[in-house]
Amino acid sequence: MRHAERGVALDVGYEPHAPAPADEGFLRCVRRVAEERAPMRYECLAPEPVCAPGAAVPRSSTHHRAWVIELWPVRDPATGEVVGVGTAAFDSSDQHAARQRLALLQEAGTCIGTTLNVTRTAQELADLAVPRLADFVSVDLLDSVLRGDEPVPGPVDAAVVLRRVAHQSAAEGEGVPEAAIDLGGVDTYPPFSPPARCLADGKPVLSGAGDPDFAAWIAGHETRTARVAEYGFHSVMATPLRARGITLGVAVFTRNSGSPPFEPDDLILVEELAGRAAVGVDNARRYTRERTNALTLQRSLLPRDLPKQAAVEVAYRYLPAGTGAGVGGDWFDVVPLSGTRVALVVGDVVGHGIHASATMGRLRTAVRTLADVDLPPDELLTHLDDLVTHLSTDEEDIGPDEPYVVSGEIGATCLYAVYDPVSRVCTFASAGHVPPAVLLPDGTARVVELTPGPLLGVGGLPFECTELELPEGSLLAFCTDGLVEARDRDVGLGLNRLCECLAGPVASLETTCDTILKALLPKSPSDDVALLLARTRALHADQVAAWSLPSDPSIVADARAQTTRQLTAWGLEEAAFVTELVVSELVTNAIRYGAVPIGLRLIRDRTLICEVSDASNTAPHLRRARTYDEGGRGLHMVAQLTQGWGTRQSPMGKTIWAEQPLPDG
Amino acid sequence: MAARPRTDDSGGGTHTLGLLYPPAGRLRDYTTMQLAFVGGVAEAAAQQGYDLLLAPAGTHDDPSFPRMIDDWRVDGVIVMEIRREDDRVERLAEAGFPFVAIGRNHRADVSGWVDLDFAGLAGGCVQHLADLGHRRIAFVNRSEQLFNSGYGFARLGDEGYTETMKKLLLTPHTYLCGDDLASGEEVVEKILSEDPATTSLVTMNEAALEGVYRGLTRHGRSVPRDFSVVGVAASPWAEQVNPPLTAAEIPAKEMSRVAVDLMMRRLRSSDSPPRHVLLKPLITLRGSTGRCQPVPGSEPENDLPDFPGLELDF
Repeated sequence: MRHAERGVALDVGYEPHAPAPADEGFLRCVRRVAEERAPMRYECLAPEPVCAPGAAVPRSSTHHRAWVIELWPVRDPATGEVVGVGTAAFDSSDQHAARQRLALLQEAGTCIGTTLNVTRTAQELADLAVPRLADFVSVDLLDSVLRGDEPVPGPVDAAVVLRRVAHQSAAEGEGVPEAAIDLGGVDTYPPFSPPARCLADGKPVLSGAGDPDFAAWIAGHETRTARVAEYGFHSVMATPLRARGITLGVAVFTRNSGSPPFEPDDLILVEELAGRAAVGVDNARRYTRERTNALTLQRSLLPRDLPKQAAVEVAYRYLPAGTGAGVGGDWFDVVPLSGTRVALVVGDVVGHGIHASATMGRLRTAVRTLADVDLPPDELLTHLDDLVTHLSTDEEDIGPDEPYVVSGEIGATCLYAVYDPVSRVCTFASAGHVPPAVLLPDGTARVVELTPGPLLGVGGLPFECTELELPEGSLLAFCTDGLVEARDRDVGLGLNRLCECLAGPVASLETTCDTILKALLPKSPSDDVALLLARTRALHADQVAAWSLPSDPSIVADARAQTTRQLTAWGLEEAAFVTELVVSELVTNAIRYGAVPIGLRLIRDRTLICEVSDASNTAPHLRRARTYDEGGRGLHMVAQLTQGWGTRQSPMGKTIWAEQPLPDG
Repeated sequence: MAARPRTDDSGGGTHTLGLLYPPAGRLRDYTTMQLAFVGGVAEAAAQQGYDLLLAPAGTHDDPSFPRMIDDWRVDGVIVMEIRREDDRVERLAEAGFPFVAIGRNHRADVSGWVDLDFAGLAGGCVQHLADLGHRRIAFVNRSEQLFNSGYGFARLGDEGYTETMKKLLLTPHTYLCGDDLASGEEVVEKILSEDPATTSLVTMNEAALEGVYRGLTRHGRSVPRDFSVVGVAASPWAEQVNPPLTAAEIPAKEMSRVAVDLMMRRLRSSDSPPRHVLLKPLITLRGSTGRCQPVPGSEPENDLPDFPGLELDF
């Protein structure tokens, strides 16, 4: 049997060297044609032909020729026996390249935009293009895109400032040594540079070593000059990332000395690639914006700086849920009350998203308002319960096509506690909320036993107060169920863990916050988390003085004298005049309209507080005194002289308080 | 012999004031209250440009008394803790020596004095307990010896208590009690055996307070839940007992200052009429009084509604 050892090229592009005779697969194919006596087709890639003998073999695999070789048996016309194999080779590089591009585009459809993350999407573009299309790819975006803002529509002109978000190179190893700009770095592209030109035109730009603009651009940047010299970058394509009519950034594709320059055909490919990547980036940007909006809304609803007060030292954390679930309805608050007391609030609106956040905002405002009225915790929750019931009914009226409203029901829990640093008593009331934990100064930590109470919005069921006397320096921990409850852990177990964390080594409140979050937070929290820590302070005898007063008008003078005596002992003689007036007004009112026992209390804290309490529940009100009225001016005077006054009810009667700033010094 | 000071001009004398106080008591220690007065007078005098000469003299026989007076070593004398019949005051008044008394008796009226309104304070204590709903209020006074012979405040306190009780149509029960722990226990024993339904007491006797608390605890009365105790006038020490005693605080500093002021007035114009200052501090609420809880088994008190479970809110 005779085998044809050499093919005959019948193609127009005659190539005497292709394909290489040593190709194993080709020889196997020739044998099969001879044995099976049937024609076959063989396709192969071979390196770029060497034009001159002795020239170096090309290093890069990016530029091979594609060959299609037809093989057929050659028969002896007489015997019909196969005597040889005829071959004809065609250069099919163009079709091959077209198919490769198609494959790349198809892959782009599945590989770019797998997440809603701007940076990740940009990186996917760079990863896909290297090494199949370029040796080095960089993706730069406008800063506004990274923030999720809407960039200005249309092309960007003049010098552009862009931030590097992704790059990739064919170099081995982890790093990208070719990059002149680090990830996250900012670079300014002069108007004549290819990236700036492509942004200005809105079309991809092909440039390279022969282009004076390219040379000027490279020369204008020291690191870039060094990199180009080192790696021999000679061909570059810059393409804008445009989606929905807005320009987001620019992708730059580069080839180094090992690869041939880009061809005009490649421009179409990168334009297409960049278009797909841009849509992915824009989707991610829009998502970022929506999420940022929701988080901003929630942040604006949560306290930023808690008000200054002396009753407790606080630290707090709020963590939104992981990306999936969106923002939530957890909140916390610290509200200063009269008489140096403070209200500590933590609550949770069931559900996620803007709707939960908005409801949370309403409830938080309501709690603050009710707290200002100085309602006892159980009464406050009753009012809040009513409010939630009303909100639910309101929302049932909204049309069913209204987005975001799943149902009219609002599920919410709340824990409201009032701490009085004078008596050191903390009064808690809970509406179905996770109970707080307390760490006593002796190092024991436990969960505060509370009546759990019904959820807000259930209506009609009573809330109960629980009182707890706390030694000075006790640490209260309030949290939402996102912290203590997890898929693999029930609330009880979580609260025990919380107690263990509290009982750990004594640290600052901020550190304790971090320790607790670290120990209790699941890896990817499915619910948002609020944590509020409060270390109690106490007002001592040198800051508080309380006296009992008989219901006898003659006592007013003694009360004034006692007030001056006390202020002198506190070194606040300057405040004596005003305080005496306030005391005599309030005491006179209590004697005239109130019921025994009558008490007078002075508190020296951030302000000077004067309180008169009596056993009657009738609250005073400002009256407009007529010209010849003898009475009716007292409270007006108190209101004028002090920085604030108010009244609070208690089971034993009422207290009128007035607050004035401490004298300077 | 030193020159007699010119009484019309404070600048001409010795620029020294004398302070007479009784020698240390049984325990050879001065009380915090006595020391507070000595310190207060010295401070106030220094502010006026005067030095202070201290003389522990309970009677005119104590040797430091004649040394100070007869030799005119001081411009004027402030006398502390005067008794109803006090020969120091007697001698000073006779000699026409400028003096001011902290405390008072009939002879001291010729000169200036500053004192607490013990009658008013004791009455205020009764009123405070009555405001809390108490109707059976006992009064614990100082020792019998002190009451009969000694200091006026024991009698004044007694009068104030009795008068206010009668005004409120309540029956007064007064008890004398030694200045010690055992007497405190005894007096509680006596009060509760005479009227087991007693729910409160007013005390003049700080020294016996621990004993009173102990006696109440032995009878299963917890202060302030089942039994209220209020002090007529107490030193800052009242804050240290458990529960801290609700009582009017003796304003030692203010009394000292007023005494020195009165002395200055007397020295500047000797013919000005004597001024008498009566202070009435308010009852400082601490932890020993609460709403009246009727004693179980005692007859119901129908004249007033009671408020079970309520406590004074401050």
